This record gives sequence, C-alpha cells and structure tokens, in this order.
Amino acid sequence: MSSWVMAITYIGGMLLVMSAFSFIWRRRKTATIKYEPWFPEHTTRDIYVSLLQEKSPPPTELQLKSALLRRAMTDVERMLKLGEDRPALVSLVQKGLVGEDLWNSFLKAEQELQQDIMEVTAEADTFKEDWGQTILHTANQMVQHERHKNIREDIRELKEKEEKEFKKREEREKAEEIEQEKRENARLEKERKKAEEELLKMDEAEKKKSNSGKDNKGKGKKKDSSK
Amino acid sequence: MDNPIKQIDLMVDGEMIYCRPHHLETCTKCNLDFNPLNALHQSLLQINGDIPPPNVINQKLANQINGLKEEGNKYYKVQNYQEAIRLYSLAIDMAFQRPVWEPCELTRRDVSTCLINRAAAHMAINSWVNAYVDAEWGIRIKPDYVKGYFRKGKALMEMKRYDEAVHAFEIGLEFEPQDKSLKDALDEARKLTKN
Repeated sequence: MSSWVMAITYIGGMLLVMSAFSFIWRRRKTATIKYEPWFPEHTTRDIYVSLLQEKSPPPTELQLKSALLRRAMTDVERMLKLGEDRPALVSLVQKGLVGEDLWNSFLKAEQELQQDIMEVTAEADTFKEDWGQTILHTANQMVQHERHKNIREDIRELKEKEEKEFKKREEREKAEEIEQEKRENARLEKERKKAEEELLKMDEAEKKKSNSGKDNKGKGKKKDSSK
Repeated sequence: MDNPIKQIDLMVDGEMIYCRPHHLETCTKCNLDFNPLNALHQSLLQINGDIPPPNVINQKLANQINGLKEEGNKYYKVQNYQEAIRLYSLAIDMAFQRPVWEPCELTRRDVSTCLINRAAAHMAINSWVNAYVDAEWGIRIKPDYVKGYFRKGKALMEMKRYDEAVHAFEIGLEFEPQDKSLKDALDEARKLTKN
C-alpha cells in the first residue's frame, strides 16, 4: 500500500517540477522577444488600404490621393518623433538605464517606418508620375501647418486664461487699495481723536493751574492741530 | 510586424467618407475620425487635385499679406496703434489662409513678424495682457525671435510678474548674449524680484 503512495507522490512531484520548469523557461524566452510597439496603430495607413478595397461605392481618385497624403503625414510625424527620441534613448541604453527590449522596439519602429515610407512613395507614383519624389515634402509642409494651427488654438486658450487672471488681479488690487485706504483713514481718525483728547487734558490742566489770561494760548494750539 | 494592416469598416458617401456602422465622420464608438481626411479632400477639390510642386507659391496671397503688414507698420509709425493692430490682425488671419501644401516657412515668417509688431502696438496703449500673449505666440512659432523675449518680459514686468520676466530675458540672452537692451532689462527685473 505504501508503495502506491510512494509512486503517486513521485509522479506528482515530477510533474510539478517539470511544469514549473517549462513555465519559467517559456516566460524567459518570451521576455526577450515581446515588447510594446513604439507607435500605436497606423490608422491612416489602414484607412488608405481599406479605401483602396472599397467597392460599393468606390472612392474617387482624389479621395484616395487625400488618404495617401494623410498616411504620408503620419509617417512624417513619426519620423520627427523618432528623430527626437533617438538621442535620449541612446544615452539611456548606454547608461544601462533601460533594457534591450525598449531599444529593439525602437529599431523595429524605425524599420517599419522606412518600409511604410517606401510603400507610400511607390503608391504615389501610381497616381502621377514622380509624385513619389515630392509627396513627403508636401506632407511635411502640411504637418508643419497643422502644428501652427495647434499653437494658435493653445494661444487662444492662454489668452482667455490670462485675461481672466488679470481681471481678478485688478479687482483684488482695487479691493486691497480700498481696504488700505479705510484702514489709513481709521488710523488717522484715531490719532486725531487722541491728540484732541490730549489737548483737552492739557487745556484743563492749564485752566486749573493759571488764570483766564493764559487760556487763549491753549485754544490757539487746539485750532492748529485740528487743521 | 508590430502593427499589421487592419481592415477599417468605412464607406464612401459622395464627397464624404464615414464609418459604416454609424455613418459618422467622427465616431467615438469606432474610435475613428475621418474629418482630417475629408477636410484635406475638400481643399484639394478646389485645385482639382493638382498639388503644385514644392516651393510654388500663391504670389497674390503673399503680396496681400505683405501689403497689410506694411500698412500696419505705417500706422504704427504715426502712432495710430488701434489701426495698426487691426491691420496686423488681418494679415495674420490671411496668412492662415495659405494652402497647407505651400511652404510653411512663409507663414511662420509672416505671422511671427506681425505678432511681434502687434505686441509692440499693444504695449504702446498699455494693453499688457495682449502684448504678453502676442509675444508668447511669436516665440512659440519662432523660438529664436529675440525681440519676442524682450517684449514678453517687458509686458510681464508691467503686470508685476518679475520672476517670469527674468526668465524671458534670460532665454532671449541665450540667443543674443550681447544684446544691450535685454541686459539692462534683465538687471532691472532682477532688482525688482529681490524687493
């Protein structure tokens, strides 16, 4: 009976070890290959390709050309992005701060972009001779124009915000000024009263001390201070 | 392939392209936006799809923009700032009418000059927020526009935002380290930040 138990634990244990090994092995293997794509989906390319296949009803040639230009624009944007990312990424890789997988993802993106650019120029030539030579240039201008317009939108928002803030600030400053004036007035009033009281006291003291002849002097003083 | 080609469920409806399931140009459900494509198609229709070769420009438009700018400068010189601002604004709007396939550099040049001039006109009539925003805009499209930093800083100082003014002057000086007016302005702004 105990030999049965022994055999089952033996086989069970072996199975456990083997599955654990295969799990770890597979995970390590996939870890070296799998990585996040550098760019999201290439939607403008997908639209162009889908439009080419559309039959009911088919698009006009101009619609196809527009779609190809939008695809070229995405490529230009990606080219600019890769150009910006490269130096930072290279230094990070050299310092060992990021893994190989990120670098591989970057290289793959570059490769795919080159391929897509070649496809775009080839497609452009099918519409018009030599369009392939200029389509990227045109797309680049269009990307720049679009950025320009985005800046204009940002500025419009900034202006609204700044105007609001300026108004608020002005109102606050005005309120503060009024407050300050009030406080200043109150202070002056207080001082005036105090001075008056003191004078009255002095007057009274003088009255007590001396006769009516010296009284005029005190009144004169009081008039001066109230001016 | 990282991003294999994906079939998009679209449809052609006359001059427009929509998503097929919802017949929408901008569809959040399909996560698709055909507006940029349709807009481009519209603008290409106006020239019959004949995209001119690079560096061909609409001279008429360029002359109009330039004319408005020059006129603005004239009014600025005789200190009619309101009129100058109006003309610069017209020139800017017109520069944005330039077809998207024409060299963007031209738009950048026209717009930034008009903006920096308009900033000066706004400063002349004590309209500090407008002056600041125009200068900021000019810098954003032409980051080496030194006058832009000067005017931005000056407007900020008038708004008592001395720290930001110092920052603007400092960046301007990075482009033009020997600029006397920038240096003086920076000294003044620094003094005021310390108070």
